[in-house]
Amino acid sequence: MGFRKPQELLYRELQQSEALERTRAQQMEAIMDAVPAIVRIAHDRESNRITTNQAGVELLGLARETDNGSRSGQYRVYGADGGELFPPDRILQRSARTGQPVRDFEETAVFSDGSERHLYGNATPLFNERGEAVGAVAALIDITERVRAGQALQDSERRYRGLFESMVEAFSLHEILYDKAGRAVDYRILEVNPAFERLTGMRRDQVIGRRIRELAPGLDPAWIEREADVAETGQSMHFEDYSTLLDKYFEVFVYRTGDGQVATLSEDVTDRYRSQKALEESEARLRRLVEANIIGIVYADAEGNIAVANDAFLDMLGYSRADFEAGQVNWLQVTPPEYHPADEKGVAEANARGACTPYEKEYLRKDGSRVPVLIGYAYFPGAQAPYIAFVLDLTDQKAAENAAAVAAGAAAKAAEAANSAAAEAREYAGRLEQTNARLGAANRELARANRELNDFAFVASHDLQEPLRKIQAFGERLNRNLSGKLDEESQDYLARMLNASSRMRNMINDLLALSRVTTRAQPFVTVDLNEVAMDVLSDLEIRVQAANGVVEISDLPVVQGDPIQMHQLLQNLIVNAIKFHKPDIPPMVRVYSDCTSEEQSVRITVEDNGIGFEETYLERIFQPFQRLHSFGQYEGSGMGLAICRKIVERHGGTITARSQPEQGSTFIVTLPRFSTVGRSAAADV
Amino acid sequence: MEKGKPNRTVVIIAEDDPDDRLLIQDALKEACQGIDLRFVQDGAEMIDYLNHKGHYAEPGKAPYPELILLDINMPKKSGLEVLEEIKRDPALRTIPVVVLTTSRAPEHVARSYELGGNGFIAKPSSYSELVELMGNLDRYWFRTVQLP
Repeated sequence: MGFRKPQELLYRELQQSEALERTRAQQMEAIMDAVPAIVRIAHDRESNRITTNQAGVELLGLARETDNGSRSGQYRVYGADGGELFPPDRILQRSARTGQPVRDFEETAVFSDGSERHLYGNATPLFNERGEAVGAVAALIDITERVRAGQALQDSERRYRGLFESMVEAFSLHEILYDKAGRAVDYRILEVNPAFERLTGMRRDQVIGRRIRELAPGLDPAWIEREADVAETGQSMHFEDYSTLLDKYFEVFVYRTGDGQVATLSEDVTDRYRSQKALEESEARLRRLVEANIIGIVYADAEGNIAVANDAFLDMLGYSRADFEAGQVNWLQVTPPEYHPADEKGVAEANARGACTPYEKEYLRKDGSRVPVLIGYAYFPGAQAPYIAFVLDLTDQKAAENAAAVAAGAAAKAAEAANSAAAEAREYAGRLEQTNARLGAANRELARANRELNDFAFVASHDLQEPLRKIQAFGERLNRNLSGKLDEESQDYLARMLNASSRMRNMINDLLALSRVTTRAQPFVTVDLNEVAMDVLSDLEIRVQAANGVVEISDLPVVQGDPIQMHQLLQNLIVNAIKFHKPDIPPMVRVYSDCTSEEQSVRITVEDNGIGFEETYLERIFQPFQRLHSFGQYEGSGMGLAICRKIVERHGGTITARSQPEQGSTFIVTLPRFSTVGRSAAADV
Repeated sequence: MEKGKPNRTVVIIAEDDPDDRLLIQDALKEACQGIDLRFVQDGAEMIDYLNHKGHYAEPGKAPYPELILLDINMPKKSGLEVLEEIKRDPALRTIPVVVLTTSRAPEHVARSYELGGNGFIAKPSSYSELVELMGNLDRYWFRTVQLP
C-alpha cells in the first residue's frame, strides 16, 4: 500500500475534524448561553458580524446574529461620563477595532421608551494565527439595580446630610468608653454637626475623635452615666438640664444608634427657660397678691365672663366660691344697668392705653343690696381673660362720709328730745316740725334722685318712707287731738299738710317702682307678648268693664326680655289708654304689631281713641312726675310712662308716641327682635 | 286679753325707733287693755331678754312673752337673724313671732315664713291703721287662737 493516504481515510479525517468543529461550536454556544452575563462576539475588526448570547437577546433585545453590527441595537449608549457612545466606541467594537482589551467598562443603554440598563464588563480582542486582530469578545453584566440602589442611597445621604448640617439642634455621636471594671467613664465624640459647633464654640476638627474628659474635664459624670444607660438599655431619654460649664439650659434627647454608641440632640433653651421662669415668677407674685385678698381681684374677658375672682371680691358681693363655680357671678348679673356706660368707658380707656382711670361704681350683691366700690383695671391683649380688675370696697369710706350728716342728725335729735318734755300738743308739733325738716332734706334727695334717674332713688325713697310715715301718723293724731280747738285757718293748713304728705307717699311708691325697673331686673328670656297681653287683660278686666271699654289684641311678636317688665310695660300703656278716654266715649284700645319678620326690630303699637295730647309735650310725658293734667282730673302721679321708657331702654329699645288733642294717642314701642343688651354689649367685669 | 285675768299678757317688741315705740304704745293702749308691752332696742337685746341674760338676768325682769313682734332692719342683729335663733331654740320656738316692718320686699316676706315666722305685717302708714292693727293682733292672738 505505499504512503498515500487513502481517499476514504482523508475523508474520514475530514469528517471527524468537521464533527469536532461542530461539537466545539455547539459547546461554545452552550457556554455562551449558560453564562449569567451578556456575551457578544465580534467576528471581524469592523464588528460587522456579531453573535450575541441568550442573555443579550433577552436583556437588550439584540439579534442573535447580525451582519450589520453598527446598527444592531434599538437603543443609545452613554459612557460613564455621560457622553453618548457611538458604535465604534462601545466596549466590543473598541476592543475589536483597537486590538486592545477593555477593562471595567461602564455604559448605559437607554431605550426608546426611556428605560435604562446599566452595564459593566470587560472585552478581549481576538487574533488570527498571524497575530492580527480579527474581532473581540465582550462580557457585560447588568448592574442596573445596583446603580439605582447606590443613587437612592446617595440621595438619601445628601438629604440627611443637609438636615444634619442645617438643623438647629446640636447633634453629636458618641462612643461610650468603659474602664476595666466595666463602668462607663468617658465617651469619644465620633461626629458633630455645625449646630454643635455653634452651641459649644468648639470646631468639628477640635472634637472629632477626642474624649469628652479631655475636652471638658469638669463635666458632671451624671451626663456620661445617662448616656451609658441609653447605650445599654436602648431606651431613649429626654430631659432638660443645666450645664454649669456653658451656663446654659438644654433640652436633650439621647438615643442609641448602635452598639455602645449613642447620639444626642441638644437644643439651647436658655432663653425660653429664663423667660418662662420670669413669667412663672411674676405669675406667682400676682397669684400671691390675688390670694392675699387684700383687695378684690377679678380676671375677666370682653364678654364680662369672670375667669378668676378672689375671695375678697366674692365676699364683697356676698357670693360663695360655690356660687362662683356654678357660674352665678358674671358682670351682667352683678352690675346695675346704670353703671354700664361708666364700665364701657373704662373698658374703652383700658383698650386704648392699657389701663383705666379708677372710678366709683356699685355692684349688686347676692342679697339684692348694693356695695359701693372703687374699680380700676388693666388690659393684657391676647390673654384669655385680658382684663384684670382691682376692686376696693368703699362701704366704710361712704359710711365715714355720711358720719358728719349722721352726727348732725343726732344733735338735732338730742335738741328735739329736750323739747319733748313740753306739752303733748307741742310735742306732736315738734315732731311734725322735725320730720318736716327731715322731709325737706329728703325732698332734696328725692329731687336729685329724680334728676339723675339712677338707682339711688330706690335707697333714698326707701329711707324717705320712714319720716313720711311719722309725719302722717303724728299729723293724724295732732289733727284728732286739736279738732275743735283750732281755728278754721289752722285746721285748713293741717289738712293741706296731711294731704301733701299722702301725695308724697304715692310719689315715693312710684319712684320705688321706677327704680325697681333696674333693681328688680330679671335676666332676659324668650317672652311671647301675646301671652303677656292676655295676662294683662285679665288683670285689668274690672277696670276695662268699669269704663265700658274694649281692648283688642292682635298678633304680637315673641321677644327676648324680662317677663315681669314686659307685663308692666303693656299694662301701663293699656291702663293709660283706658284712663285718658273722652268723657262721653268709651275707650277703644288696639294693641298690635305691624312689622315683618325680616326686620331687625319689632314694633308694638298701643292705639286709643282718647283725649290725646299736644305733641309738643311728647318728651315730657316720659319724664318722671310729669303730668299734663291736674290732680283732680286724672289719678296717678305721672310715673307710668317714665317706667315704660325705662323698661324699654333697658331692653335696648325705644318708645315714642303720636297724638293730637281729641284725636286719640298712639304709643309705639320698638324692641330688638332678639335683644342682646346687657348680654355682651359691654365688655366689663 | 280677758278681763279679770290676774296676770297681764306680755308682748315684747323689738323696735329701735323711739317715734315708732311711742306710736305703737299709744295705739295699743287705744286698741285694747290688759297687755303688758315691753320694748327692746334691737335684736341682740331681744335674745338677751328671751334667754335671761345681761340686763335681764335678774329674776322677774323678763317675764315670758306670749307674742313677739320683730322689725327686720335693726342694729346689731337683724330681725331675721333673731327669728332664726328663736325658731331654732326648742324652749322658744312655740312663741308666735310676727314680723312688723316697713319692708315690703318679697324676699323678706318669703324668708320670714321660711324661717318659721307666724306672720308678716307691713307697718301701716297712718296712726288709725296702726290702732286697728293692734286691735287685730289682740283679737287674733289672744282671743281667737289657742296658744300653748
